[in-house]
Amino acid sequence: MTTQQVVTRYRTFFSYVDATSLANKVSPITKIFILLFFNAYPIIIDNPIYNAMFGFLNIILMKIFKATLMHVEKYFKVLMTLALFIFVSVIFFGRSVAGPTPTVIATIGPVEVYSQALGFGVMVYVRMFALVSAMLLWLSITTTSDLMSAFEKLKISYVARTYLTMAFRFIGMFDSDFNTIQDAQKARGLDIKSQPLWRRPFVFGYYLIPLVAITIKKAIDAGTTMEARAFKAPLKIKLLEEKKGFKQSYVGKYYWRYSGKDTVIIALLVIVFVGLIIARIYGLVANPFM
Amino acid sequence: MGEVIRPKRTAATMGSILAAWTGICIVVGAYGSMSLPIGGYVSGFWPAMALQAIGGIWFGMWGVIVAFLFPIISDAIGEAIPMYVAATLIPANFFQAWTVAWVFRRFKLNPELKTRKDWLAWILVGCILQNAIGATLGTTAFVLWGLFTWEAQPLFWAGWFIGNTWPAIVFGSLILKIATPFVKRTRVYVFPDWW
Repeated sequence: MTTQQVVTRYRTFFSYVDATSLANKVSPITKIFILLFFNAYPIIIDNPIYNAMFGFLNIILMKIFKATLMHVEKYFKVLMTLALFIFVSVIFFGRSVAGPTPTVIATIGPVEVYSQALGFGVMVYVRMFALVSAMLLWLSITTTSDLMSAFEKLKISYVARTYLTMAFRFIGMFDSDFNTIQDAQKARGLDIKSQPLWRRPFVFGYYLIPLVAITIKKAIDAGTTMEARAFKAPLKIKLLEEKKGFKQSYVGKYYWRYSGKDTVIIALLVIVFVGLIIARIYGLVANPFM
Repeated sequence: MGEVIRPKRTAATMGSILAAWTGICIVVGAYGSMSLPIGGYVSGFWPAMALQAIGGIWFGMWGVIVAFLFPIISDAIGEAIPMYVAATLIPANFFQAWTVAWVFRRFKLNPELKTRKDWLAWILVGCILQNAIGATLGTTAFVLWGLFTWEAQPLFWAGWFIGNTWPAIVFGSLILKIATPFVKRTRVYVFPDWW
């Protein structure tokens, strides 16, 4: 008989992380700073090399944080299809993105291919990879309680933070439901992946309609459950918590963590952000391929 | 007799539909954007548009709020648009949901698309006009961010407009026709009210 090791995992918005993961030691507020910085990086940087390095860093961080990659793999696979579309677009419609003085590097029948357009395509594609990997990293290491406690510290009202965290939680749920619907349709003989690319959008309706029905049913069930647990609020949502009568919640008390390391991470993120802005002003992060 | 009496709407149920509709829109928006991108930033197939427009009609302002909130996340996953840029698309996304919601309420139209007038309003306003407004506001925001030039704007405008319009016509019509009779019996159906 072999002994099996049981590993405790936490459900994040998009994946699972091991209980021993470093992600569970990072403060929820640091995760908010990571989200803000990681969203800013690809837009500040035009150089595809720096964006590619950033994208790979995110994948390495997913490994370090012991996030289950199985749930996010499909998004990376889609990036291959994206490459095809982006490069077809910049080859055939490249003139409008090639700038005032384009350089023709090839001619395909009546179509002229411009080096600046290809440079634009590379920049867009790698920026896409960097940002998608950053978002997937964040969604893979952040839990509902992380976001709830961070919002509580930011004085977001109880009602607003409940709705916001529920919305994030529903992403993972509907992502799973979408896969279940795909399997169910496959059992009925419809496999979207076996369809030619041009037909895929047309058969999307067979997935969309069941997903809409599931969404409404789940929303009503969730609302009824909340009512059963005495959730009461006015229909008019207040975004910020009122100072008087503020009470720390259970989640805010027991899931909140912050250490000196978080201060270091936040300070580093701020310094790098300022550095990148300065580098952009001096043209140090421009796209060398355009 | 024949009057439909619905239970009172509460913050719990409306908050749940706000969250759940945001969730589905993010998933559908991300999958759609990934399936047919037009040179990045703009998708040639964005089925979330159908949900955006329907959300405004069915759930009133709750649906409109979802319409401008969810792209902040789904655009980052599906179209590589950072949250800051996506936040400037709020006016575009607002009009892509509010316009048809207002027309259906103002002219007392039926979301089940029973008459020619309902169909005309849905196709002309819900699928064509509000996407033209959205595409104009959205691509202008992209140009102002420096993501592409004024010369490239018509190409991206066409990508946005076509990518939003045809899923709205195909899937939006289908969902409104099939699902409205079911949804109108639930507590989350707000039409003809706004809240």
